[in-house]
Amino acid sequence: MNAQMVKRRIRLVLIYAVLVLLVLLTLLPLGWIVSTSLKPSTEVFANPPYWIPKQITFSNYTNVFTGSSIPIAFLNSLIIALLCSVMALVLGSMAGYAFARFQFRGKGFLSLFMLLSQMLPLTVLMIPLYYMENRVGLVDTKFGMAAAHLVIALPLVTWMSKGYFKGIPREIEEAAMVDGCSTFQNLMFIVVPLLRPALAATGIYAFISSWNEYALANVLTRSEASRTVPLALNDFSTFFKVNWGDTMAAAVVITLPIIVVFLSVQKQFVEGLASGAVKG
Amino acid sequence: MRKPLLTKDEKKAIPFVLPGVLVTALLIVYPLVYIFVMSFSENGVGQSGFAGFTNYIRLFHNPQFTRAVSNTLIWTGYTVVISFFLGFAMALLIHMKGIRLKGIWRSLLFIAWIIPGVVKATAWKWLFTTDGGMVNHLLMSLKLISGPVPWLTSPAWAKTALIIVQIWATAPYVMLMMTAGLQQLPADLYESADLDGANGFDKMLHITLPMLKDVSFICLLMLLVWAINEFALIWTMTSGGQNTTTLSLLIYNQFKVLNLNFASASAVMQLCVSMIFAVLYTRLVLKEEKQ
Repeated sequence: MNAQMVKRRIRLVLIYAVLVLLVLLTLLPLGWIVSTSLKPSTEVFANPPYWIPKQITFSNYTNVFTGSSIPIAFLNSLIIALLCSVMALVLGSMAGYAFARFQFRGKGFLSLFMLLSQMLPLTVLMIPLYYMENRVGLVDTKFGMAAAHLVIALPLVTWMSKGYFKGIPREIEEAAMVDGCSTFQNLMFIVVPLLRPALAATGIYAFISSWNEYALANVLTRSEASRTVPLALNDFSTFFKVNWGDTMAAAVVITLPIIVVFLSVQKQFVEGLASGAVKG
Repeated sequence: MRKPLLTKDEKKAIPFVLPGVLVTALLIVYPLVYIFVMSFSENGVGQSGFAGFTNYIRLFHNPQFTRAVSNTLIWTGYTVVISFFLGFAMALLIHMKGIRLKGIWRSLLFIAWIIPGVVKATAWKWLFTTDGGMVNHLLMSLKLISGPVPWLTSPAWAKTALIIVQIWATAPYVMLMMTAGLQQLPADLYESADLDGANGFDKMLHITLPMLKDVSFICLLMLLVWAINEFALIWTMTSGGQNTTTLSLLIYNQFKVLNLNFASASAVMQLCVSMIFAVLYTRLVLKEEKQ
């Protein structure tokens, strides 16, 4: 009996050791970003490299905020991601509501299409989207970028909100109908308020997808008028040399907002992943 | 009596569905038709005539295309398989009896997932620097390698480096999906198996794996689609140099030099391949949803 307990204890310790190792492997690259961002340039390129800066400095952050295009790109990304998630929320939750509530021809096909669209390769859409937006003068505009990101956000919001609407019992709405509410009033004043946290999470999900998106932004933006943060991260490199201190400071600056919003909706996010809403 | 054109439900549904459908048609369906037409045209869309399969035939005779396909296959094969097993192993570890703070372990292991793709790629590019890079330094101080490895500057290592990063980035997703799956397994099945004297291996083979079949396939298909479609990671780390150009990068490069026939035909090929897995995925998700 005692020997068995010892064996079990050892096994448990081993499992914890492996878990700690895995967590270290997950977190060390992120730690290295932060460490580099706090080092003066003499220490950044020290060989062999070391983890703890000898002299912590915020000069990389000062450079990023005062001498780079990151602040403008940050503002661009904020506007684009907000615009995109608002448009996606309005259009997507209306469609999701209809998918959940009504029977209509083509419904099966349409909802299948929404799910499939989330897995489209963006490199396939990038070429036609460029020519379409170019023709109407939307290339290198914030609206053009936000509209292009609807390619990701709209199917995602439609699919996720459909699941949420299905979870609301019909009886609640039927009672409101008796009281003379129209379908639209129903959605606006009864259903949406009930689902506010879930819909907010969906919107944030769309926001994150737009904020992080790289391939389309690479083709559809050119200048500071619309360039987003993932592209601006490249500003600290030339062909010959990369200023890693500034780059890593910029990396922290563009990642922090995402981590903060993610933590606020972690629970819904995880449920969303499990229900088949995915980020491509 | 004549059947009305629209049912009562349809009349109600149209104002809700139509705006979203129109936007989807404009931004997704039309571009897909556009690229399809482009791939069968002689010189881009609208400028000249029908070219039949000429663009596709040229594609298969082009060494750049065949190399990109083989690179995509290698990259996809390794990342999907390793990422799946690693993620599954992480989930099993967290799920073990006696492990405390399961939620914390899960969150810690999941963090890498949420970081923007370009930030991940840039950080790893810095970690993989040959001289004075942290990865080489760690491996050298552990005496695993004798000198610095040219991770991103040699064809022999570049693929390995990229594959490592993709696994690092996607295994957390598998871990999360599988822990969710493991939590739903009924405990009484295991109790009765214990009564029958089944060992851990038996339980794994006859209970855990069959019960996790659907969620496993969902993970695998998702990993496949992501690997085939990945752009930011490879573009940021190697720009397709050192023989790491996959289909995504090839399309982008050919588009940049306005070789539109080549780009559009490759894009249609990429679309077909990733949509095969996407359709399988959708069927599974819809099946899960019905249950």
